Amino acid sequence: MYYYDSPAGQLESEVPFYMQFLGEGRSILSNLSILQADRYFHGGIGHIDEDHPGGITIDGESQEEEGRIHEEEHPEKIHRAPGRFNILLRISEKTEITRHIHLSGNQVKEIIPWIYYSAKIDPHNVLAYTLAGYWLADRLDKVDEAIAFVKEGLKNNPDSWELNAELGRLYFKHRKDYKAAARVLTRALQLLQGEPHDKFQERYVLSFLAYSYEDIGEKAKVLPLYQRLGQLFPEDGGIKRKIRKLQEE
Amino acid sequence: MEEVITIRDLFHAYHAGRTEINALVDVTLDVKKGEIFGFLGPNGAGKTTTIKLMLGILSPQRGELSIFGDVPSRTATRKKIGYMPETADYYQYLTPRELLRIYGDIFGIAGKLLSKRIDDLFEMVGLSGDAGRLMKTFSKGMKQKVSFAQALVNDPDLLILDEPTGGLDPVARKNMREVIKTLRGKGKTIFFSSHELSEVELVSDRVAILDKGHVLASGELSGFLSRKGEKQTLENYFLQIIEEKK
Amino acid sequence: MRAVVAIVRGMVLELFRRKDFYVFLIFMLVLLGILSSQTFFHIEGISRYMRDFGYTLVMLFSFILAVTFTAKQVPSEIEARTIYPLLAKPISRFTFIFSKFFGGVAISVISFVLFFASFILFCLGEGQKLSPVLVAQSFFLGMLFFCMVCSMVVFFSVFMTMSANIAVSFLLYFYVINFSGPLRDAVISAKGFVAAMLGTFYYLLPHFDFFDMRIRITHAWDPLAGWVVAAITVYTAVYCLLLLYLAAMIFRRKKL
Repeated sequence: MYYYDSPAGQLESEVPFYMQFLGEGRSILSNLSILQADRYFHGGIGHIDEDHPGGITIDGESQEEEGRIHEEEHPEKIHRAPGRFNILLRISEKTEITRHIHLSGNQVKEIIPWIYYSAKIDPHNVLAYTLAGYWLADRLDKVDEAIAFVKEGLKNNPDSWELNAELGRLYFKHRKDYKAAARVLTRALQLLQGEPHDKFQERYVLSFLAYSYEDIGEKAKVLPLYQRLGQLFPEDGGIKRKIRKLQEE
Repeated sequence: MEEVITIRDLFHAYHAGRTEINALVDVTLDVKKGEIFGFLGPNGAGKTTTIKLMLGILSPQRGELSIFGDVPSRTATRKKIGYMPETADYYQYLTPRELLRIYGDIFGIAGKLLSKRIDDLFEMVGLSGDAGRLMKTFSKGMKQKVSFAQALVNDPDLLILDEPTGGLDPVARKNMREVIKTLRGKGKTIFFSSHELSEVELVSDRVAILDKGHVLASGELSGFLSRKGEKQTLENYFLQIIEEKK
Repeated sequence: MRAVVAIVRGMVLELFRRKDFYVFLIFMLVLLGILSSQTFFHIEGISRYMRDFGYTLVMLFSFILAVTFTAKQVPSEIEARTIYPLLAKPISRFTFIFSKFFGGVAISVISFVLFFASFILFCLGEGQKLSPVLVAQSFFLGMLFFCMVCSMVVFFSVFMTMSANIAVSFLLYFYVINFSGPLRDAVISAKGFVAAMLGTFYYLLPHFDFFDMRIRITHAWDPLAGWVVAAITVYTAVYCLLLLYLAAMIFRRKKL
């Protein structure tokens, strides 16, 4: 997921009146709110992700045990030890918290207010809604709330492929409503292919759409999707095998 | 008679940018115990500078100044002094009673003695009914009364008053004059700086006239009032002497 | 000592008679109330952002009161000419400066205690669990923090106007809280003359970052080690004494 800059010319009537006076500053505040959510995820400590230096990541795959502290060096923080008698530097070192932790289990709820505020400050910050969708549904088991919030985001950003894709993912993964997922993901794909994008983004949408069609039973629609995936990732053996299997059927 | 204030060849200058302004030049005078000494001069004569030197707020660049035989910068010397400034916008969020309690505590007076003294002082200056009001509601005259009361909180042996009657109505002025005379009767020494020559004339024993940092005249008031065998007012004498020295 | 207590008493009375203190207290309680009434997606027990806001409000409002109140002490005495009847009393200029410092500390601590107590009671009322050691440390370091602030503001007040004093104090606070980390890293990695210059600058800065317990309180990190708190206490005492001594020396020579 990457930062999404709010488009200029957003409809002022969609923004609460007490926020309108901030003008373009809303998008800055909204992004800062997301940064704060990231800090909260890391126990209050600012974190720079080397893979996404301009943004934050969703730790979607790690399933840490609740309460386990994952300690590792911050590669961006190169600490030489201060001299033994340099008392102020030593005090400073001891007062600063540098351990790297992630919130786990139910603790992740603590980041929710910041994501919520981010969306409220700037309803065109698509990242806020997609993050909310993931954290609410996948980590906090609040699927209905996640879907409602992403739908609210879609009302404010109807042409956002990210929000359509996230809604499709929620329908697919949590509601098992493959028809709804297919409908929404088809729209996501149309929107995505109508704007500059990278192949990983397209793979994400194509994959979920293909799975949805498979689960509905509309196998005729699955092969073209995998063929498109094959064009994007010609070296991917898994995709090649899938295409062969579908062609044989 | 014992001298309370002794000043010999006092010199003090200010720097205004690159210009040096002589505030006091070779000032010599004595104030004796138990007298009321009037200190007169036009605006900018150096009266307030002299007072600040007497209180130890400024240090003289040349000359000698002693109060009760000691330097004024010592806190022990200032225990015997009561000072009423020309103007002071006292702490707006305090009552006069609280102000005098603070000042009384600084002097080391405490408890019932301080409370009684404060009550007596407010009775004397006519502030008994207003002692519990915040000073931000006070008029100029009322603040002047507070100022006078706080100068007396430590029952000082030397009272230094800078323009004490400014802002007071005629009744309050008369009252203040009587208090000053009563204090003299108790053996207190009063150093009285004022523009109000009529007030000085009514209470002082001896006076000094200052102009542009120089003492033009100093001595018994009666001597000034019957100069050259003729009676005159202090104001006339003051204007003559200022004119002569121009 | 009596003189110091007397002057401090006057300053404390003024704190309670001005409206500023009550405005901040009510504002803080209202904000905390609004925050606690917020619900997010029917999720129970979200607490960290309230602790974050609450602690920030406590420190911010106490800091504002401390700086604005203390910064005006010396200049307003001179402007109102109350400095003259005060210094005419048996009180030295040293005592005057120390009185203003202790008065600033008194009003800061009183404000801080009330705001902090409101914050803790609020957290407990919301069912949040707080480490007693962490709370005690935050409180103690908070008081030390205000000693640092008041000594710095009193020092500035003997040669700056009130508005300049307030502006510089806020800027310094903002700088230290946000940039002391990168500065420390620069000091450690620098060499030679640059290291000496940066090191001197680092030592001269008032290290407000030492007292900042916001992250620990908000995210329930471990308390500081005992020796670190002791070291911060000694640092505070030394820094305050140095600044106050300098302030008294400057004030002693000041022509009033």
